[in-house]
Amino acid sequence: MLKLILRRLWLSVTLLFGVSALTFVLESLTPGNPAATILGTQATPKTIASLTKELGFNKPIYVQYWRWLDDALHGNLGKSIFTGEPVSSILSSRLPVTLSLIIGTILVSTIVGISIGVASAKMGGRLGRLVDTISLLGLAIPSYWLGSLLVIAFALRIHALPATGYVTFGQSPVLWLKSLVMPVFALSVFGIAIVAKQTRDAMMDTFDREFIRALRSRGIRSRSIIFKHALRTALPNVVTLLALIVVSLLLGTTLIESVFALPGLGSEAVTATNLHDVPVIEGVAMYFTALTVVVFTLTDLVNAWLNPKIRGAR
Amino acid sequence: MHFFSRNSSRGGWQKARLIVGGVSVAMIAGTLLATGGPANGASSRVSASKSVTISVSDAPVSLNPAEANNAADQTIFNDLAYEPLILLTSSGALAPGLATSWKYANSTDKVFELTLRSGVKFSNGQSLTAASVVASINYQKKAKGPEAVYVDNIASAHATGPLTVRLNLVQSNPVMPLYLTQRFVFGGIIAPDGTAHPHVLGTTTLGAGPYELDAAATIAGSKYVYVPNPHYYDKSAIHFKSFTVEVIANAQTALSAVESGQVAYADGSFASAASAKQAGVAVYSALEGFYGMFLLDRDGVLVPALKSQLVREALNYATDRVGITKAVFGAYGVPNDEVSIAGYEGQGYVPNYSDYYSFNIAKAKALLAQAGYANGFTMTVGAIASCGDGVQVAQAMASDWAQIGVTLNIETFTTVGGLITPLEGKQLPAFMCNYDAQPMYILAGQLLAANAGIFNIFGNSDPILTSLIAKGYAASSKGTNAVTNAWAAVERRVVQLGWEIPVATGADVYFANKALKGIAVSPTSFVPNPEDWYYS
Repeated sequence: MLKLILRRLWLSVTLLFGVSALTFVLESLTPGNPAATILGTQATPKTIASLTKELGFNKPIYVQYWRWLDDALHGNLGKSIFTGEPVSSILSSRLPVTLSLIIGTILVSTIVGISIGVASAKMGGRLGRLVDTISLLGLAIPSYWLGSLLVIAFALRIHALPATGYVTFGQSPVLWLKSLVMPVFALSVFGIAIVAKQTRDAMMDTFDREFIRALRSRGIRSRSIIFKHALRTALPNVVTLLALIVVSLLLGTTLIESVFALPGLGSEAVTATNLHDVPVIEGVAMYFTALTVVVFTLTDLVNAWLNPKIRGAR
Repeated sequence: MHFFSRNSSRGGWQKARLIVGGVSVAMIAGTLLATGGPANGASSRVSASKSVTISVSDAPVSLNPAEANNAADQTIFNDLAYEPLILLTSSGALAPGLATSWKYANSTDKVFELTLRSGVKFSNGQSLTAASVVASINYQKKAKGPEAVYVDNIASAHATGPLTVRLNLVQSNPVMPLYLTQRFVFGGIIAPDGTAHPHVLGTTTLGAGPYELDAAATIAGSKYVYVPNPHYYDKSAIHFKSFTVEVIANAQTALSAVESGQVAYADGSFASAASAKQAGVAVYSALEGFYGMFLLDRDGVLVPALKSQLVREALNYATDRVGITKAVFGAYGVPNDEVSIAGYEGQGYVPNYSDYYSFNIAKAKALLAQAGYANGFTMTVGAIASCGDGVQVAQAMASDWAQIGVTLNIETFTTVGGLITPLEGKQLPAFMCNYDAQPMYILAGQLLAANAGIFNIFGNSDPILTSLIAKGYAASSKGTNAVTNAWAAVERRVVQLGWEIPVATGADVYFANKALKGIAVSPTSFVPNPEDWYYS
């Protein structure tokens, strides 16, 4: 297990380095100039060039990157070119919003998806076909479109939930929860669909295994067979799938944050990209990469716990 | 979205306070298109126990006034915290702000003097003095921000007494009072601690306005919370116990927020105005500027055909302004081929020139043939959907121009920054956008001058136009008629040259909860003043 964690740490350092460099290069290829954005349209090419030099954007890309990397290695992600606010401070205030969305979505997708998957695997027949149909729908419906419909129904028609905005848990747990209901539901539909389908397929496959027949023949109760044995065998695939869903949510939350005006990392990434606020863009990339690494590390650990064979192999 | 720094004309001079180029209140007032009642005597009915939350479509580029621009959805961040020297009211008139009186100290309008209000303190408790005003202006000059082109009108600023300031101007400037209002940002004075340590201005406010930023409650880029300035000189003018500005970029989301009551006000759009009204939301609008094409390549560097005035005239004649206005703007636009708009008579707008180029395909074809382009030509235009509905308008123009053999390729950009780069690189012969209305005195420098940045990136000049502009500047001390005639002549020349292809005068649209009172806009003051709003 220790070896697993150490290997993950080594990979994560390599990944962070690679992503930061790639982000820098891609950003430099994007049209636009922060100096022009700062100075506005009345600025002359001369004043833009002067500010570009002052900001250091006239230097070769590798020099700019090295300057950023040097600071980052010392724990300093720099400051926003526009507000002067430390990047870590900007992103730290937004991280809880995105994490609330992601964790909420994963919880809902897991609980509801696994429940539906297990039920349909056990009962089969029509329920199984229903799950397949719902899964297709869930995969096809865009979350931002669903989000807009939810706003019309629950915010504008029946005024049960807020149309926009985010309230922190500290300000009001109830309002915090209310502000997350619709965005989380909109994001969860895809997760529920795919988790239900995967769970059902994995369970059906497990039910056909020799050891399940053996357990039944020994008179083990059906509930115990399903939850203690079959589900545990089926879960590693579902856990891995959930990890992939989390990574896809890093993009999905950007759209949902726009629909519901949530101040998360995704909306900050869009704003920073439009403004060419390079330090913030790099900061967001680092946060997303770190989140991805944590998620996959946790996935491996959970899978290792679920499946002793994995522990031994590593 | 307003891409460009907005320089609204505040032409409603109050005669009792000053004479500026002889422009009269009556002349402007007669063309106002206000669609909301101005705040009048609201203070007695106001409850300051309530909070208000509004939304705008873009976060501020910076909270530092020296780095902010005056786009319509940006000025509110400064308006709340930085009181200007002179206030531009919603009707376009000027009123005392931090200065109680002002005048030109000589006959050439090159020396401007202000007397400051006594007993005023900034939000950090420092006192407003002539020295602090001078320091603020000097800082703005040094910062070279988006408003530098206006601040640079001031050659030097001096404190001539504890509360008197003298500004020596670079050239005769009859619209100096307008420059010192909230619409040009630098008129908002920064406290001495702010000018001494400007790095703090990106995350906090140090002004003498009715509110100050609550940095702890603010999330940069998302939510800006303002609380009453404890030192504000007129407590009765503070109408809310907190004023929150949320950034909601998605227009539909913003409308939903107003409909659901979560925000009391939001930037609107022509497209959603009808559904907003249906949902019981109050819609305010004011015609505010021209929408159309900025033709840059007038010397034919990229597109040789554009060098010919006959070709540029042909393109104007081939543009169905009435049809495009109806289709794109609906009730929120009027056809117009001038860079000035109605409401600016006496400052450039010529009423009988707005349809100088009446739609005429046959005439357009004849002009092209005369210029040697009977078979047409091809050109590219840069456009952003969010800037003056640029993509939509360009598509309509492309359809019109196809009838005369001109192929208009539309290169779309998703961000403003993305468009500016090829413009600065002289890689595009034209681009689409809108430009806020203002006196021709200002337009002449911003759009038409050889050094007008991206608006004249190829540095074109026309001897007749240059001469007419010079006469316009010189007319400021010669009376109203001279000013009117001079700037009208400039507008006529610009139209004849075909340097731009305006399509319509479009409106700024705002949505609000009907409970929020005091919202008023006009062509000469088309950004609502949040200080006027209240809940009764």
